[in-house]
Amino acid sequence: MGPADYNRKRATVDKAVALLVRLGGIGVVLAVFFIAAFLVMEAAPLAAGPAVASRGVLVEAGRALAAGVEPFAEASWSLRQDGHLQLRDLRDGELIEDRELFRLREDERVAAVRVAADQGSLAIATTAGRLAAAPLGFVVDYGDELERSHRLEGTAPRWLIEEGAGPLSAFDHQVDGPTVWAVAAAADGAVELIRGKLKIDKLSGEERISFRKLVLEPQGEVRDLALLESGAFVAGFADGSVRAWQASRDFKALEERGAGAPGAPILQIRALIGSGSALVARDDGSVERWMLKLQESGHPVLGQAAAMPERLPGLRGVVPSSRQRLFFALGQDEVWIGQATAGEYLARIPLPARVRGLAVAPREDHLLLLAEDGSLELRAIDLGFPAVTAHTLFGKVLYEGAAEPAWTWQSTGGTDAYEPKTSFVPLILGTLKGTFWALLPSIPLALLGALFTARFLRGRAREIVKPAVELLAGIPSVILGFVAALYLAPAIQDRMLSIMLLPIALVLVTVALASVWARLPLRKRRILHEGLAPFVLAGVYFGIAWAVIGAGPWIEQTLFGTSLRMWLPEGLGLPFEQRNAAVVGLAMGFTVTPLIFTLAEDAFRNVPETLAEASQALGATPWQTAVRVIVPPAMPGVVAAVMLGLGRAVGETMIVLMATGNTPITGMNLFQGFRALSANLAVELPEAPHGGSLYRTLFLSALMLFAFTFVINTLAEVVRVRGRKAL
Amino acid sequence: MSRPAGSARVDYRGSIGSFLCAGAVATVLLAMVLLFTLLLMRGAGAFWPRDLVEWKMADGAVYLVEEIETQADGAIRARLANRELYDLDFKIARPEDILSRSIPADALRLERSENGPFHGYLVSEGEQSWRLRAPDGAEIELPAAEVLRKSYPNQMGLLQRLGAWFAGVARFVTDEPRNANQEGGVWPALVGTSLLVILMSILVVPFGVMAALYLNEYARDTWFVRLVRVAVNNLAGVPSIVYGVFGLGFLVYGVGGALDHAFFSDSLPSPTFGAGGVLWASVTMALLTVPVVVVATEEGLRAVPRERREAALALGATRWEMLRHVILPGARPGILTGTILAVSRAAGEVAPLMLTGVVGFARELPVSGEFPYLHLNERFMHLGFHIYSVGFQAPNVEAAEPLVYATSALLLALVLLLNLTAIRLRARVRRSLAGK
Repeated sequence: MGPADYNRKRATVDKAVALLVRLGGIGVVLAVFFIAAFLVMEAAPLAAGPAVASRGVLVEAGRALAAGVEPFAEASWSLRQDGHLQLRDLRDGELIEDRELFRLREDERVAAVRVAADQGSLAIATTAGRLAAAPLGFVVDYGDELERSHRLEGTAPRWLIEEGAGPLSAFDHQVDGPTVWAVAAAADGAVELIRGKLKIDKLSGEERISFRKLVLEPQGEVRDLALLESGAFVAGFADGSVRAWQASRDFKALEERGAGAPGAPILQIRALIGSGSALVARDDGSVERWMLKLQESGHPVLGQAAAMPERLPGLRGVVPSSRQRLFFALGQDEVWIGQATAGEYLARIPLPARVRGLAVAPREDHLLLLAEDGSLELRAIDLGFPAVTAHTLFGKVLYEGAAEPAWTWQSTGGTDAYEPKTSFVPLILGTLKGTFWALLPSIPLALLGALFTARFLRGRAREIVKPAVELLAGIPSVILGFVAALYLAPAIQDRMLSIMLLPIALVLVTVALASVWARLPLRKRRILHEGLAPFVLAGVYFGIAWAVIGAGPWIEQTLFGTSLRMWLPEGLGLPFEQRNAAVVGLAMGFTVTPLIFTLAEDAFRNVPETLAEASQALGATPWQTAVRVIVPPAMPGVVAAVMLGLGRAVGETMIVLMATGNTPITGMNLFQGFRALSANLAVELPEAPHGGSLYRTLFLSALMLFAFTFVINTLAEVVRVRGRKAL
Repeated sequence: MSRPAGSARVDYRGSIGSFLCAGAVATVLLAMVLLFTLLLMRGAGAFWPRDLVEWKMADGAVYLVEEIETQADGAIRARLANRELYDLDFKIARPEDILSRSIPADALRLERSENGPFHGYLVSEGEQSWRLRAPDGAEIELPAAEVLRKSYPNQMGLLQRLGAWFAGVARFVTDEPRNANQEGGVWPALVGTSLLVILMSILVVPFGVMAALYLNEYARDTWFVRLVRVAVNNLAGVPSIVYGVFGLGFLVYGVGGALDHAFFSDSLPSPTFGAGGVLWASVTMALLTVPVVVVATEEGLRAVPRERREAALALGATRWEMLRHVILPGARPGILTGTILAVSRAAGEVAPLMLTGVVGFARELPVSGEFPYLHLNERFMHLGFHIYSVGFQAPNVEAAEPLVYATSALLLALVLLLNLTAIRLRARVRRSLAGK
């Protein structure tokens, strides 16, 4: 290999390395950019509205009273007037099965059908006024190639009213475990509440159902009815009033549960999933959500939860979703998708004119349109994440079971029908609360300490203090959280007042000492070298802290007659928790103080020594020099230090996770815990199903944290660079 | 402003101001000393053999306890042991309720694999089973296999206690955890932490050094360099939990999920790389510690005198040769400082791990004698998370507290040692910077 080759090789290596190193630099920028982009990407689908295919599969099904699809949306069922249930393959239009589900008498026809909100059962009323309900189930068989075929589950209907007395004007049913509920209104306005309890005879294994009924005297022309939880029902009248009744606990009487004022005539009432609330649709096109609100008396009272903002012209009915608090409102030639929790319409989808009814697939991935001529059209829909809107994230919402609209975070509950409550407000307030109480002691401590270390400490003393503070900054926050929660919190719960008095006591003692010191003749001041001052003071402080904290219970006893933690709830009605914001503030002080301290110390030290020398040469005292000459030019660096401290406090996770009870409350009480955005992520994200609504909501909250710290850090950097240039 | 020197007004303001500043330093130092003392004392105290004290109570009961502390209200808090006999792990009694306190010489302390420690007296030591007498006189039989260690703490002298203490610490570091992490040692957590920081260092050091080289050696002061600096500062300032969120969403579900579909589709739907594991945790940590390495390396690079670079270039070295033979060796202390600081950060950081694969109890270590020896997809234990999981999720937190203190003290000692080393190294770098 000649020297030319060798040099060429050297040049190539050099270029390659240069490229690699540049990639390293670009990589850092890309990393930040990519993290932000990824968070945005994961959270963005929350903002996308529902999308519906403009056309779908058409199948001829003959005239049916009601229809729907099975979970795979590959077969549709339809119930005909003669009580027959038909299952049709939507892929080829073939009739799979035709079963006489309800055996009707001669000249009797099915008058109306009602499918339960969870699509697990349906009920019919006949022209003779009889009422029956049957489970609605499907079986999937897998073939050799794993292709699916569907059939109806073998089920028997149950007659809830066996002998009718004329046609019913409205009815509803509900299957709740072994209990069947039904409510039916006769033409004269009398309403009957029926409860059937299924019992299995232990000896014979025979199933027996025992019915009990309660009758309500006619109250007016009933337009529609819907059953709610535990034997309550809502009735809508022709005069537009909505009233609720509930069976007494012993099922002996019907108790009235409140009423709404008259308005436009009622068109339909439909219970939402979980039966905690019902949608009331009126002839004028308005849709409202009504529910039983628990009062202080212990009895629930009917009240309106939310009204949809727009009136839909030509409203023909509402179909509640089987999975969430969402509904589909059928207008003249359009479908509106409404979000019942937030009370807003998310989308409007135009329809072919001849549609007279619609059904939603159990998985909410398809809509089934029933046309006048008996054909069915299956259209794919993508609802996106309709449960989360700007209003549910930031606005006050009246949730089921609550008495007032509130900001609530409680993302998951015990059942599938749980109404998720995902308000960021308590989390943001929690983060702010923790940050405030962390910064309150940290900022003065860190800034004063940094000024002293930078301008007054010399030699060995500084060589101890600076690294010591850096060591403090390196303590893992999990250790601080542990100490705060399991040592500090129980140790100071009976000494809360003295913890708050301690800073005042220390300042007073320091001021007193300083005044005495100032009057001492200069000669005597030599006994204490400035570098020793902090160490001597630390000893003094230890003594004072020991005394003040030791006297804590006594002070509280004398002032309140009891401890502060008993006096607060008893005397002021304020809750007291052992793991509270004061404990978090103290513990976070251990991470925030050293951070601000180190950065501020650098800022004070970066002020050229010549300025200080000039100032003192002109006769200024060291203190005057520090305050008037050193501090002003160091200000940008100090501000940057405080901002970075703020960023740290906002993002701190382990301490707030461990040292608070993690209850998402909105109060600012110092003696209560809170739940911060960061801790919420640590608690909930591991359990959140990948790609789901909660998962994306949590990503949005991570994005908020990222954006906040990004702004803070960038501003701090800008301020610092400007400040350095000014020097 | 002409004041004769002898009659200067008393400078109250200056004195109060500087005293308050000194007081702030004093407060920080005091808080630090108190915190370290608490942790190290309690952590070390967890292994100190305490006397077994026999309490004869006014109500006739007899206990053999380790006295822990006298509470503010005067009552004595003591550890009971013998979990099969009592519902509680601790007994709190007022002194007037205790008729007599004595220290019986033959009091026995057993460490067992079941039911926690035993305090009592030995009756006979058999091949199959041991016969023991409980403090209240009842006889108990214990399978010999359950006995791990016996000791007579009341007979121990100071030296013996010291020996027992050292043995206890050694077992704590090298043993597997027992009884839902509430007893035994932290060996798997130590291994997991080590593996995490090693993998992380392998990833972060080259990347961080390259970025620092770019900033310090290759780039001129352009808008892009300022952008890189803003990016480094932002990486340092982004809350660690956000890294965890990114790690979970992108690495675990995104990259891991894609790997599973491409290479491990046989075992789907149970994930191989599509679930948290030590690899993803390490990558996440590497991202988190990039700024630490960049900042320290830059400082190290700046410490290399300009003349040496110029000399190397003047002798005809290419830029890479100059870096390789002159600058990188000179910057080695800086790089080392950065690495140590990154390691110490990763050893103590917990929040991102909670989303990317740490567990409170892992059945197997992520390193084993079984092919492929290093199981990058395995979940792992971590000292910092161990503190959280035992201190907050253990079935009996109060009983596990001494071990949590011990784990905290161990982690604190490790982190302090690392940081002290880094601080000393950096001081050396800074001295040579100043001397330049």
